[in-house]
Amino acid sequence: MQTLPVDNAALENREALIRELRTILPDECVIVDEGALRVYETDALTAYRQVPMLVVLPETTAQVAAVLKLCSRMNIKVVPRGAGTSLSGGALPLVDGIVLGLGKFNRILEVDFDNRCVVAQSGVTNLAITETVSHRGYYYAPDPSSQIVCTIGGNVSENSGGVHCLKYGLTTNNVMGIEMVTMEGEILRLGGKYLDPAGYDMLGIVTGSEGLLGVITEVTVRIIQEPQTAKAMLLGFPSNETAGDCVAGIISAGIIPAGIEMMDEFAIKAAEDFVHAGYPVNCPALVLTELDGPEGEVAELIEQVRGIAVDCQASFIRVSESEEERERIWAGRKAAFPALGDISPDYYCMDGTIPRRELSHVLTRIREMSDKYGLKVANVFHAGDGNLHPLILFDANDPEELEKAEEFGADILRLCVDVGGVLSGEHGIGFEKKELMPAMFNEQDLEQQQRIKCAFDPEGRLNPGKVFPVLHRCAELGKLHVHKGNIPFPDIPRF
Amino acid sequence: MTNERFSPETEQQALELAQWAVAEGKTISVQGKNTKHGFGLPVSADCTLSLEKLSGILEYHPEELVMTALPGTPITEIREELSKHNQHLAFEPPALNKMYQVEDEGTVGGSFIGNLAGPRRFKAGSARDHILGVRAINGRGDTWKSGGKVIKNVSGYDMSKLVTGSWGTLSVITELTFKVLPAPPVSRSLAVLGLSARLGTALMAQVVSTPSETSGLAYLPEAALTAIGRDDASFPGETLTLIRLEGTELSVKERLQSITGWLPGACEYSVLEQAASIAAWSLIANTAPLQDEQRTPGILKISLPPASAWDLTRFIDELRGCTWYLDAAGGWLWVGICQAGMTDKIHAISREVNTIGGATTIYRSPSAVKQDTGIYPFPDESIKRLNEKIKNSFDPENIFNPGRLHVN
Repeated sequence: MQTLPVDNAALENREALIRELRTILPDECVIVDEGALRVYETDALTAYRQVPMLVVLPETTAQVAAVLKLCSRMNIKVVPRGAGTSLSGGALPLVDGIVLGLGKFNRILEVDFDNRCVVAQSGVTNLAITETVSHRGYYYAPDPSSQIVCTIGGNVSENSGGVHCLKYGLTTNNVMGIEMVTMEGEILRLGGKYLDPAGYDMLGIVTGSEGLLGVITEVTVRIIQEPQTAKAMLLGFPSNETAGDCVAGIISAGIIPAGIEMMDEFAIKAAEDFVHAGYPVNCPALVLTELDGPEGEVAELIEQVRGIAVDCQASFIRVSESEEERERIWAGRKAAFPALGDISPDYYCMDGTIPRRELSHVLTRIREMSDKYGLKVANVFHAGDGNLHPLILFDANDPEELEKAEEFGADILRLCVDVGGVLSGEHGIGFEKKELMPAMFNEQDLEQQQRIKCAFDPEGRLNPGKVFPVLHRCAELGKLHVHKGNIPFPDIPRF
Repeated sequence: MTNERFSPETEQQALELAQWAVAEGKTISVQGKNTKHGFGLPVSADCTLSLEKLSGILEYHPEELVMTALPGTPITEIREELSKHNQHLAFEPPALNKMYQVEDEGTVGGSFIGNLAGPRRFKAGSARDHILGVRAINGRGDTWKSGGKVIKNVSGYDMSKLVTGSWGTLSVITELTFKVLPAPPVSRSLAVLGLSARLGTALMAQVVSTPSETSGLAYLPEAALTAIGRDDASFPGETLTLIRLEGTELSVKERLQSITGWLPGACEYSVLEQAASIAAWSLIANTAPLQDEQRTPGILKISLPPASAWDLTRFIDELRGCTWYLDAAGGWLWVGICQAGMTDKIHAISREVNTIGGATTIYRSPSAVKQDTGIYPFPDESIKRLNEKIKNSFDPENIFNPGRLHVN
């Protein structure tokens, strides 16, 4: 699985590279055996696999810098990797490149309650940060579904979301600082325990850059106080339209719920069979929402939401009465993916975002495509922010079905762009969607993005073959194209 | 051609001007309504591109929390349109017109290009946290776009954030899409009177570590209150620790009760209701305590770890001639500096900030001072170099606002 031309010189230099790496790293941190390398052949997008040339597991930032300097000198490509939970093939290895795993960067360096932040090495898991501060009532807000295993460095690279991001923001809104190493081996510190770093927003550009700009070794995140109360509501509707109206009604009323999710009939049934969360299986559409804050406010909001739901013809309304019940309501949503894994050999999870007003149209079109491809699809939806997760069911052992699933997925994403949405809401472009980038961006848009890449990694050695359909040479991108013509603005008003 | 001023009415016209500049080796001063010209070094360019006529709201879907507007749209127009739907820009962009001695509050493009934010910064973020997408023209004479018109998007690099806060030095923005949010119906503030700086910062730290969801925490020492004028009823007391609560009536009431319940017994306080609360925070957001240009011609904004704020204020007090106040729960220290020894004072303060781990931005000072200090005293050369590379990736010939940020 490699679309880039193979660099034979790199393969020929493998032994020399191993020798050099062993002068930088302890022997056990350089993985060379075929069997051990196979562990790294894929991430959470398992349809794509490639055994890497080598894997290194450095233990310090200085070692990361030395490895990257060496790879720059020997012209070796590098794929950074956290826990390998990318759903877009962001950590897919290269046959002629090394995987730089950050698994050993697993220490929380500082818990600073006075400044309401945590400084962690990049391989620390998302959930570990919350667990470290929860005894004082704090938590780290972004909560991707993989939070038990995914790393904070990976979250920064992918700008991960989660069900709470409508109210509390994505990773990019919660990261205060990072330490990263450039491909040339320079160690940079961007931001820190303070609000507004000086100069251009480097943190903003590195967050979500999918491992193409630098290797993140340390992260400082903001922690916030847990809300006093949180209650979940389960609302059943006679159609996707009425459910969509309810979501729009809630937000138009000025309510920003901590989370607001939608599931279609197929997803509801699968989840209910799997975890018995008490979902109404006869409802064509379900809205799950969580309201949090001070007790009185939550009680007030619940009544308001109840009124809106009734106006939208809700046929089922349940409010959690206990923490245990709240968790059970969410357990169904969180189990939606594994539940589908239970009834189908494989599923392919898409991640487009659409303007919510297009929901009904998009779901109808997806149903038509489902008939056309002969593949079933279940829809779960971060309804507040329009992030759609259609799950296409297929059997990967049937190469024809895999191909059909991929085509179906691509059609869905093109549809998302056509209705004014985007290719990816939270999973990233990675290897998976790079060929679709031209559906959203023209050549000039992509060239400007690649010039950013050139500012950080002029030789294009860091995670190549991801995000961009074609990576142009920086010298080519740097050439100034002079637009000829006469003095071309007789019509511009001047005064 | 020199100093000619163009006000394109379409993106295409702006593009042609940029392409002409590239072909002819000319430079362009990029402006909205030119209300924030006092930020950065004075720009000397061959011509001026005003975005004033690229004005108007293109799309607004309140239930999607998204608005798209042309950059020259007056910020007041945006505010008015949002308020019709009980929404607002949660990052609370301040009006800097008094800081820069102009009448107009400027454009929406100006609020984003300066990455502005108000007292809600520690809770709601700044402009960069609300920008969703842009269309723009780079210094090569090409248009480009980034982001989208939905509130959740990770497709491609987040270049919209880079141009937000670039003060027009990377590209000319021709369209912006940003997140809008419901405006809280009630604003009420607790004004705790007479605390020392040490106790005031400690109180802010204590409040912010409870689930009281405050949306404003500021401390104003006596000099800052004096600078605003003692006759202002919003600012009673010798010093002021101001705590803002926003939301529904019931919620604000509950949270206010909870905070006053545990306030140290000796604390004297009063409650500022809606209008007074809004007025007080607007003065803080707009840096009213530092506006007197005779008294404090220099203005710095320092971002710092809140727990270091008190120490830094003592350092600044020792320099003499400075007026300061704390905003954003102690995360921002705004400092006004008198004329005498300004350059040395800025150097001393920014060195101290870099040692603590923070960032200094010079918002106002005489040009000669800025020439010496720069706008951002970067902590190290590597970050400065990276800024130069980013500038170069958008505007290699340095045609937009040359020299404004002392980068390139």
